[in-house]
Amino acid sequence: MAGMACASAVACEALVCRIRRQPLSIENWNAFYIGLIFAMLLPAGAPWWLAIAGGAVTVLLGQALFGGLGSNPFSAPALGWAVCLVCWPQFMDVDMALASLPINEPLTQLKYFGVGSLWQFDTMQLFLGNQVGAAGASQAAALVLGGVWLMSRGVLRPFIPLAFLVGVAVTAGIHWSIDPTQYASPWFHLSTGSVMLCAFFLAPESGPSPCGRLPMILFGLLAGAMVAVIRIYGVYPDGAPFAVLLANLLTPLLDRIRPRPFGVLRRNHA
Amino acid sequence: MKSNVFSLRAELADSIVDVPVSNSLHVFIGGYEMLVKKGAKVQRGQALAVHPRPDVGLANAPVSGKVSSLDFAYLSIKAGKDGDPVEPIDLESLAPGEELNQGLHDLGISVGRIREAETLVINGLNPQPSVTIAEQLLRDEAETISLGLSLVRKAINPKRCVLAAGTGSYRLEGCTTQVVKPVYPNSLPPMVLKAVTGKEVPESTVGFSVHKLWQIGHVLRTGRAIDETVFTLNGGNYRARIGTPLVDILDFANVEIHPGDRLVLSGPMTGYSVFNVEHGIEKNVFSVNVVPKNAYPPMEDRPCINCGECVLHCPARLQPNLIARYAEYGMFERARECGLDACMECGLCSYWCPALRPMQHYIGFAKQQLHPQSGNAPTGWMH
Repeated sequence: MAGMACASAVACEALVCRIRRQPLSIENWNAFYIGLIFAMLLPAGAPWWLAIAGGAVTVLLGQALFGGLGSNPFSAPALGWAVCLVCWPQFMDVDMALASLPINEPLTQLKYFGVGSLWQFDTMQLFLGNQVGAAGASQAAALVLGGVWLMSRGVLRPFIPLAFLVGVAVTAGIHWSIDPTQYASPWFHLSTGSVMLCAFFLAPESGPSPCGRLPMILFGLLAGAMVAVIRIYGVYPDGAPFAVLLANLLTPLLDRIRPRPFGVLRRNHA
Repeated sequence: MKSNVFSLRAELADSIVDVPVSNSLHVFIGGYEMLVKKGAKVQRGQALAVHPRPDVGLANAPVSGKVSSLDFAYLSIKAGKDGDPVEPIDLESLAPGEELNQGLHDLGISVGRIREAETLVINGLNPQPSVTIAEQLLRDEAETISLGLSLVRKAINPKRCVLAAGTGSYRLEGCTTQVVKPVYPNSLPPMVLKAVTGKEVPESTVGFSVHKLWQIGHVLRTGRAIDETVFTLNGGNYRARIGTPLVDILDFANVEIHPGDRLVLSGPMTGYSVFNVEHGIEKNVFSVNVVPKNAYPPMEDRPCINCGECVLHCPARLQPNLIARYAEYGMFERARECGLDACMECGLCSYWCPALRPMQHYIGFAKQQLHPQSGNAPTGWMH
């Protein structure tokens, strides 16, 4: 399935390059990457055509339409996921797609049966990936490992991922400390759904995230807080990609936060 | 990328090596107004050309001989016999102010910053990674530097005099030494002035590099126009006549060059490439770097990917990504509103850009479009 999504994404990228008469840009692996991340958001039992359609939407609507890598105003995989979720909700519902399994999807349980139903889950097991969820997004521990490796290699800047996780933990933690019988613990929120995938791979995507230290941190905090808010007050069990899309909307505003340039007096700085 | 790439410390060479005088010297006179014609006989130290900006020093003959060719960029001198020597100027006897500045100007020294000030800062940090000339001068040419410093102090009359250096082991007479962490871009003039004064816009403060003090000390001792420069090449430090063709210097230093390599003058970060191995070394050049063909991936005409690396590395706290995009599309006024004038042209945005965009070129282009006349001044390393 991941292969089909990637193939579809790369094929669309090649097509767009051909139509625009630009040099082929697939060798930078970006189309492959966003196709793969999109596939990781799909439920494991999704039909093959959903992967192909989603991969195409991710590249065409998510990126090519706006001018390609770096110019997209929204996180491309999150956009592909959102389009598929709205168009084919029955196939995108993780809980329904995997209803035949003996264990339940933790976030759906939380949404419809409340905190009282969470006794069946062990947070440590959830974190290690022993849970029902989207194909790749539910492997929290593996995603953290990958993110930490990218950060240690200097590929990924730590500001957005860490701020994102802090945003989720703080917002969920505030609710939890108010009433632990009504709200789930921050550990539960961090280790379920696509939080880790969003923190390390969707939110830090270069195009739709702001530049600069403070804007990056604010962006991560806001996106993280939105995850918890959507899960607690929204209609979707897991709102993490939606939270990233909403935070993407704020990027132009956050990019307006600029420090005073060197040697420019404050009153003279517009 | 390892962070010690930007360290400004390196082993010093045993001593500064003299490059022999070449038969033919090429003095760069781009932007100058000529005072001599082709075929004229010139004496060492004689004025050759004057710059339209009054604070920029004259271009003087580095050697006696005959002007063998002359075009818009180079004046070539074929070395010949010495005739009547040019009358030396005794700078000590000149009164500080107009008179002294005129004397220095006639000896080829730019005098834009020689004016009274309360604080005098000497930039003793090696200017750029892999360049060791500042510490080599402080160690081996302390006498000449002290001589230059004495004259500069007379002209500037400072209350306080500070030497900024990478270690506390360097001293200059009458100066307190302030240690500045020897990591690029701390060696850039605005960063040094900030480190010493604590202010980004220091009042009544002037800064000089040790290279400049060495030049001033040199003309003070000889009474003759500046005709030599000292520079780093491949880990060693050399002294050569101004106008010595780079190919002669490279041959003398046994540095090989191959097709596709780049010759970069005045530092790998802020310097400029020359297109001709016959290019004569200029008086403010402090390093010659041979950048191998495949050392860095080539710059490309690619769009910005908005990753923010340039923003995170900019010492002037700018948004180079925006400035470069404005410059790319000819919106120079918008680039200025983004703080273009605060740019120190450190080159870090070009270094870090993962999209390989020519950031520094875009910024330089915007500056040149906004202030066309300032591009002509032969600027050196700090001040």
